[in-house]
Amino acid sequence: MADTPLLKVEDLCTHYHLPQGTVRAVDGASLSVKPGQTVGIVGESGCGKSVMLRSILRIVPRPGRIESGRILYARADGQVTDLAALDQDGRAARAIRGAEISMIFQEPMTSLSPVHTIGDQIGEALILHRDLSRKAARAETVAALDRVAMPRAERIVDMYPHEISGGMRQRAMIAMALCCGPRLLMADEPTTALDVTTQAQILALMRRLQEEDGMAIVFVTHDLGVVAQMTEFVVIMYLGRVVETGPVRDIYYRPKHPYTHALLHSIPKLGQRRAGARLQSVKGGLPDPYLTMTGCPFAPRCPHNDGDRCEREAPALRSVGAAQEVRCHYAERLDLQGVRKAVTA
Amino acid sequence: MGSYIVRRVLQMILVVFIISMVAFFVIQLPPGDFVTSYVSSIAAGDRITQDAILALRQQFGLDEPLLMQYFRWITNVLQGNFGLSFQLQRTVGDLLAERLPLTLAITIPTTIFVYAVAIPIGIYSAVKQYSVGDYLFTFVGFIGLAIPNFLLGIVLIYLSTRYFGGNVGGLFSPEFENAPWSVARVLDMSRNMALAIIIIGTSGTAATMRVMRGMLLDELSQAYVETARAKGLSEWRLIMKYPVRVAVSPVLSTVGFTLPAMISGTEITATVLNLPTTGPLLLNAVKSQDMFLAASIILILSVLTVIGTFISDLLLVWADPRIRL
Ligand SMILES: Nc1ncnc2c1ncn2[C@@H]1O[C@H](COP(=O)(O)OP(=O)(O)OP(=O)(O)O)[C@@H](O)[C@H]1O
Ligand SMILES: [Mg+2]
Repeated sequence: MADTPLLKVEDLCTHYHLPQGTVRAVDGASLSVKPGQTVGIVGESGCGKSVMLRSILRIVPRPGRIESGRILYARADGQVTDLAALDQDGRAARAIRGAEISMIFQEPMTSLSPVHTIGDQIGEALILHRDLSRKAARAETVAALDRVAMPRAERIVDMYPHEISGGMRQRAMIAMALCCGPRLLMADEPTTALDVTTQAQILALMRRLQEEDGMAIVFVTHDLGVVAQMTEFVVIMYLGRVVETGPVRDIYYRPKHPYTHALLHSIPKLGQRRAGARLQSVKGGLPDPYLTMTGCPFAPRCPHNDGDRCEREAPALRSVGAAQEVRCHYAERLDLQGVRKAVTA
Repeated sequence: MGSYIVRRVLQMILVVFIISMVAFFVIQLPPGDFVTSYVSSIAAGDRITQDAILALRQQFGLDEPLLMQYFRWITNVLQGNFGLSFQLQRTVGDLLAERLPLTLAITIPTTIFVYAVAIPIGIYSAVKQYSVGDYLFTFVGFIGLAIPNFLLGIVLIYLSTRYFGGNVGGLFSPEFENAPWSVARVLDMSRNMALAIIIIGTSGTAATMRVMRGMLLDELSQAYVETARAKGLSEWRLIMKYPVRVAVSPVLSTVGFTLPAMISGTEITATVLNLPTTGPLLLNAVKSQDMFLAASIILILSVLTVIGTFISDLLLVWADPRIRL
């Protein structure tokens, strides 16, 4: 049972059809999450992390559309539903959304309605999915706020988002996402907009709640330190594709993809500023999103580009080692350097 | 909140006072006064002696300094006496009592019509942006904005007389003009009023529709809408509860000053439609320098505007918890 995945994304393609051309935001990405597991998704800005999560939740806004692929979700009764095949606004998709799979967004400042009270916005999910009365929903909301260690929850329910701090708003968001007891929580850079202290508190809170509830978490970030701290399994994305996946340790100690390698060595470390030691950033910029390319998408920026096969043939995602998968022709031969200690932020 | 209201009321009194003064003096700005324009309007054959003119001036109090005239008028107004219309030889109070109710009877339903039609269309256009319906409403909206009201009035009068056998302008069809009140008369009046409401309301509807569409489009892409969607709410329900709620309050709050704007903005249409509202009365009064009448109407309009704006502001405060006083 523990080995059947809770969520299995297969070759997902989500494209935006714009007048200027098609943006392949997610372009054949695959991903698997086991019950209770925490999976980190890492990648540069614009690589399709948010679009991937929105695709799973079926809230991709127009003109975005899931073009192909499957999103297999195992419901509590063991039945497997292909979320990608559901009607985005249909009853079936909405029954799962917010109840079994929920999401925390990046911007606590703008992710709550400015003109509705915190209690109204959280209670709404309870009324919708658990059929509670207004009064019962309010009591549950206070309890949910208490669980996320919201100070003075009894008063906060009746407050508006602008009356509380960013950290408290993110706590409210978490309470909202968790109030219906989801089996999968997706967090899209939940701490990026917060200061470091608040960030640490929120991360600790999420870990505690996961221990208590045992839900699976998909955690999107571009902070590799946070990944090391929060997750067991990492998915590295590049240009809408998964280029490497594996357990955190393997990825950090033995990266197999040049892009992962570049990402790892672009993390600033305390005390690194010795003479001569320079911070490497990933060289080059992202290519034009409208271009369709042949060959490896990372080839133009890759120091190991052979100028031939890499330019002609797109590598497939294949297994290297026990649990690691990589999308590179030369993964075994490159012998890339990992980082010595898993960095902690 | 309490001190805010007190502060605003004091401000409003000051503003109305200044407007009354400006209105009074501006009407006097053209050379001459009511007597001059009265004399020149009388057939050239009738000679009027200088003495008669002087007597007229004295009778109307026009020989006194302007400031004196103003203070006498405003003191009377504060006691409920708006003075006399020189031209119509009736008290301004009487004239207003005759015209204001009908004016309100047309502008209030028009205001309701404007918002009741424009807001749902605006919502539809934003939610279904770039759909056939959106393009259609956009097209109709621009036409509604581009056509002057009085022209629309003429066209609609033509169409209604040509195809529906309606009357030409006025509040009643000829057969009901002097008839006693009856169900048929009320129906007849409603029909003519409906025409007036459509004509007067069209441009406002077109504009409000565009504003609503734009406001809602801004809100639809906000992050909180996505949060609501992620909760599993159905699309229409979440749209009505969140972005529409945010977008509609500034639109609705304009209701306070739309009403007076409509009362003062319909002179030409009311003239074309031959409606006995305050509009044509004001137009005439200004033309003939009938100063007490003109100044009184302007004063009432400005009071309505100021109160309307105040109500709008209060509505906005009530609708948006972020606004602190
Ligand atoms: N509404 C949209 N219209 C057009 N293109 C879009 C839209 N939303 C996203 N995209 C495109 O999809 C791609 C992936 O975007 P996405 O938001 O998933 O990136 P991300 O990995 O979450 O980046 P970040 O770390 O900045 O959040 C980008 O190239 C972006 O331009
Ligand atoms: Mg993102």
